[in-house]
Amino acid sequence: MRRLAIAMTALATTSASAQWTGYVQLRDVQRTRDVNCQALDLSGCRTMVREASTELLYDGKPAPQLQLTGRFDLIGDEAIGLVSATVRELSVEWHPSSVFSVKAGRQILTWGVSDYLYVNDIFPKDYDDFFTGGDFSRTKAPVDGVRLSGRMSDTDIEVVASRSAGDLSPRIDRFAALAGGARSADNANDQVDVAVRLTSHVGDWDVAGYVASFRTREQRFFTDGNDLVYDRPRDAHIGFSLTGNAAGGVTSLEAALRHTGTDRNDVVSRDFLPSAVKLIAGYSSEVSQDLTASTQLQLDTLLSRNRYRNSLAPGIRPVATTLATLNVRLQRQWSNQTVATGAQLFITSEGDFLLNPFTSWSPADGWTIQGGANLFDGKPDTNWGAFENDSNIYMLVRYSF
Amino acid sequence: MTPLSKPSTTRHLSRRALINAAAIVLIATVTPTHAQTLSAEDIVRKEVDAFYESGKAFQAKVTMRLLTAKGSARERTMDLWRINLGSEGDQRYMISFEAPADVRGMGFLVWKYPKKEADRWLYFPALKAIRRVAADDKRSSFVGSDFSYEDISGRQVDEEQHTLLRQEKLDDRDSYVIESRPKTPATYDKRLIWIDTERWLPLKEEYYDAEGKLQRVFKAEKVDQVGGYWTVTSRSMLTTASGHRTVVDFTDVRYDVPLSDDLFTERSLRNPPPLR
Repeated sequence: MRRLAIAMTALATTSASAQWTGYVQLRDVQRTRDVNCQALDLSGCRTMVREASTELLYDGKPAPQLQLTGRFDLIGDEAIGLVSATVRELSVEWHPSSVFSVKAGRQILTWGVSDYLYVNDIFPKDYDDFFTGGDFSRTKAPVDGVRLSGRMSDTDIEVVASRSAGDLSPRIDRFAALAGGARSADNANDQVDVAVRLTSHVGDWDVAGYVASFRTREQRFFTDGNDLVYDRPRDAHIGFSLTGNAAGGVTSLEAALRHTGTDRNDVVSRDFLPSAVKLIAGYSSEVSQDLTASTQLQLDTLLSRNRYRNSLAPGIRPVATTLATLNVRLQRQWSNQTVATGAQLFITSEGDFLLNPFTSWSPADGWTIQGGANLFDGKPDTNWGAFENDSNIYMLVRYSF
Repeated sequence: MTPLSKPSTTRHLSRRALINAAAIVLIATVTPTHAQTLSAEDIVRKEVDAFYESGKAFQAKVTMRLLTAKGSARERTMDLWRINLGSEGDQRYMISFEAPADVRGMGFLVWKYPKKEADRWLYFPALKAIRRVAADDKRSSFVGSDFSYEDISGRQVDEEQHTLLRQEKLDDRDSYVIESRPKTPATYDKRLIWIDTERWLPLKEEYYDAEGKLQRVFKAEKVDQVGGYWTVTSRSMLTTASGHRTVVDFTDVRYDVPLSDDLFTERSLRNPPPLR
């Protein structure tokens, strides 16, 4: 809290041309299934989230070539007894010319051309918010690092060196699927991740290439005696993406080769694929006025099935050599885009799924009222099925200023 | 496209077409203007040049007011930049939103080509992500307003079949009345455009559906000369079914500002400069 106050005070005094914006929000999330919260040690039991929060965004230009950005969260969650103050972004960007810039500090980075499914977006995500009705913009978690960005003969180059950060998993004090917890096998957060992206506009297509060496964002759980332990092994990543107009909509394709350097025995994370080829094909189109349909298909194919099988703990059911995930989204807007309803479905080749229906209404500029659900189903050892007892409905009210 | 100097035959034409043809002949006879040598397509091309392509480069602060039939209002403010590349009609547009707070920092980039569909991108600042807008989405509403994406950045002249109907006065200005019909299915069946015969700016547009019902009405509310170019500094669009109306005002308008191609890239979309 003290560091947050210092950061905010420092920014407030740096520039007269600064702007503060943000929002205040109330959010309530109710579990739709009965669970034995006492046995699972869940604080957020029937009420998974009862939150009042505010986000403050600072934007300032202390000099023509300098950009200061700060994004601060203050959150009080009665359901799990949480009060937190966090710095979501705090960075300085120096752009000495129109073709070169350096950004240092805590920042949010998004690569790739797909939404909700990720191949080349190797930066961390926030699943606690995503599974409880948080805004799409809150699905990205920040990294601390330096980003160099330049442009040479129609090609943009980005180089990012950052302190390794994992995904923000759903909290164990409100998600039954994760109750129990585990200890870390190593301190991956002390490691440095390096990633490079080249993007260009070729013909009618946006084309990009990606190379990275990073600690995986997802945790690989394994047993060590009677303990449940996790690590985040280092991956080597090479990939590409392209997106453009085709067949009346936006078509996108992402592919990557991901190689995990170190193996573990007794792995219980059955969907952690050590080395794999990853592919996402997507298509989005406005099928009629203000009705948008999107679909994405992700295929993850193991490079060595034997290596994967040998790493699994006894009794853990292996996944198929190719794991498919289909994402379908429909959204309809009304009343000059002040009302939106829609649904999003994730379903895998193992039959588990997550369904997100939602409705939102903006009664006036700055105001958003949204309600929806996160409905999980499937076998208990599958990606979405594990969260079956965490299915929920939510409501939020937000005022942006 | 029928040049006025060569009226087509009236055999087998409908009554409406006969009236139109008669009007065209009358205009050609009594009004010795450039219309005698300009086809409807030429006139629309001049209108597009004047309305969307004046000057080498252009910038303005834009205020967009969304007004419901009951009188409630929402307001969006944004910075707009445009540059023309060469003489073939290649253009770049960039829009950066200032307000309201929930869209602040959002950006819209258009690369417009004379012979093919434009490329369009949106930037979402909270995600730091850029996403393409489909070419077919060009007729959807621009940020909930009564204007579509292509109303903002313009449409290709040869996407529609144009016919000069008549010449008449509108609010004391001489105008050509052009009927334009999309060659491929669109959200409207036809539009009528009143084009100023001297300044070549659109004074009014009416959009009709297939049943001939009026859908939307565009009006040039205020025209000023800025830096030697006639400019529609205030315009409105009414959606007749809902009574919803959008009024767009341009201020701080500047032409021929020294803008570089580098401004119209993903880099600038993420971090737009202040207006010069």
